Amino acid sequence: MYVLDKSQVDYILNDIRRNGIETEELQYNLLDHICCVVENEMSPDTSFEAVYANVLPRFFKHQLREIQEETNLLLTFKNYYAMKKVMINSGLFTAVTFTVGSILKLLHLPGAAILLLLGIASMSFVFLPLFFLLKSKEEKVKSAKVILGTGVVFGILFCLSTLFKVMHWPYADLMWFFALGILFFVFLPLFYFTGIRKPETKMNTILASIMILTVGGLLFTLTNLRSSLNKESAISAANAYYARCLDRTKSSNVHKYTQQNIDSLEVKNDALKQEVEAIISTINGVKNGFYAHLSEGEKISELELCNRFNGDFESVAAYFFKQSKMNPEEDKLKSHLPNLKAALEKFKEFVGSNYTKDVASILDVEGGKRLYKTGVKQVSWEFLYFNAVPFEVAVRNFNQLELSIRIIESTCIQ
Amino acid sequence: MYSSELIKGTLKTIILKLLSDSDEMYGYELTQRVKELTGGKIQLTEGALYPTLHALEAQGVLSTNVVNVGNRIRKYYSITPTGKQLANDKVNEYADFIHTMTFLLGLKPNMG
Repeated sequence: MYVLDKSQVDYILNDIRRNGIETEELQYNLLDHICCVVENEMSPDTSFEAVYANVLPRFFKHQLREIQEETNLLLTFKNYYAMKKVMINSGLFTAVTFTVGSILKLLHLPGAAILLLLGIASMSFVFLPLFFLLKSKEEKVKSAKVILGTGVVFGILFCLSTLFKVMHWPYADLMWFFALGILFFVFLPLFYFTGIRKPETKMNTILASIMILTVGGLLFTLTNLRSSLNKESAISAANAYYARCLDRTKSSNVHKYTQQNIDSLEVKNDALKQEVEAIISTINGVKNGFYAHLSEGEKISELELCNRFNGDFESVAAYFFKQSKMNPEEDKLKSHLPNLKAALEKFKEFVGSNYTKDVASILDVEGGKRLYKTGVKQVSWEFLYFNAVPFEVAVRNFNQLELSIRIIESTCIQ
Repeated sequence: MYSSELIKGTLKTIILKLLSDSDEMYGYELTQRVKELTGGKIQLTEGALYPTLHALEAQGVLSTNVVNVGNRIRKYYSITPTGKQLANDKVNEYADFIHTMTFLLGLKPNMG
């Protein structure tokens, strides 16, 4: 039997490589196979070149590369299949956890947070990335891959910003605006101008763009729901009412002091006045410290702060508590409120011993029962009035303290 | 010669069965053996054979042994224990399939 020499073998190997067979093992497999066939068909009166030219085309339909492509496909198919399975399962998982989590959240039942967290995390970190990987493989055109990529980035940001918002974590709004920015200024233009060029996709592109614009616009509208004019005016009216009450009690007290001209009582009233001013300056000290922290040195009125931090639980928790878990068992107090409470108790004692206990009891520094997410709890004064409360309620509670003290003062002046 | 569609579905079964009946074989040998056993009615195409061999090797169903032959390298394929089990399953599945097909296509009307 004819045996191919080294140069002929090299010639075939080079030809295989030139024709797009990249995997070395596949090259050697094909080389051996072709050599076997050629050696079998060689006869003394035929040339190697002629036989080889006749044999090679039997290995493929269009070109030799097909074998490489088929091999790649078969080798990656298993992965592809597994990825697809994981994608579908994670999608299903997201749908279930998200639905159940939302219902629990709506009913204020435990387990909502963890389900939402798991659902959104599996959507953002498993489903969407896999979706991008698998889909972008199917897309042949580069622009389609870019559109898919920006769409997926928008999806991930959208999911995460929702999660952050629901969990009251910081930067949710920033992420949300970023996601909307990508949707309106990157995804939509790319999608629209790529799709509109082809006559067969023109109509669908226009329709889909309108839908995206509408839904995106609706979501943007929802973003602005947070603080409405009505709420702002209600808060400012309530604050004004407090301020008026305080002012009037204060001026009535000043008037009462001047009515007194018996010396011994004047000494007693002076002592009361001093105690009252001291405790009010302590309250204001804590309050103003809090405001200064929030306004970061800027000169902002209480009303403006109320509008800016309207509904903000985080800023109160962060200033007065260490962990802001909104759970009295895990949260820890910073020193501001305990110091204030001690001062209030001292004032109460002063009033109780110099005047009457009944009057002193107007000032409430006792704890009480409060409803938390985890159920009703007996908590201390600090937790009762300042833990897990929005900014405007914390302000209201400070003002109420001041008003209570003015009322006590008014009752005690002799 | 049967259509490539028919052969494609049975290629894995054929390869696994032939390899589990012998110690080791190389690609060309496999095609020749099939041709010989079927009297040329089934001819494995190289375009389908090698991708399948590579995939089966990647799955751990086949192991390979490389030998220098003259001026070139020859890769011998042999079946692993897991491959033997798979070959058995595939052959049984195929036998069952033929059974069903004969019934389905009405090749033996008195069956069932």
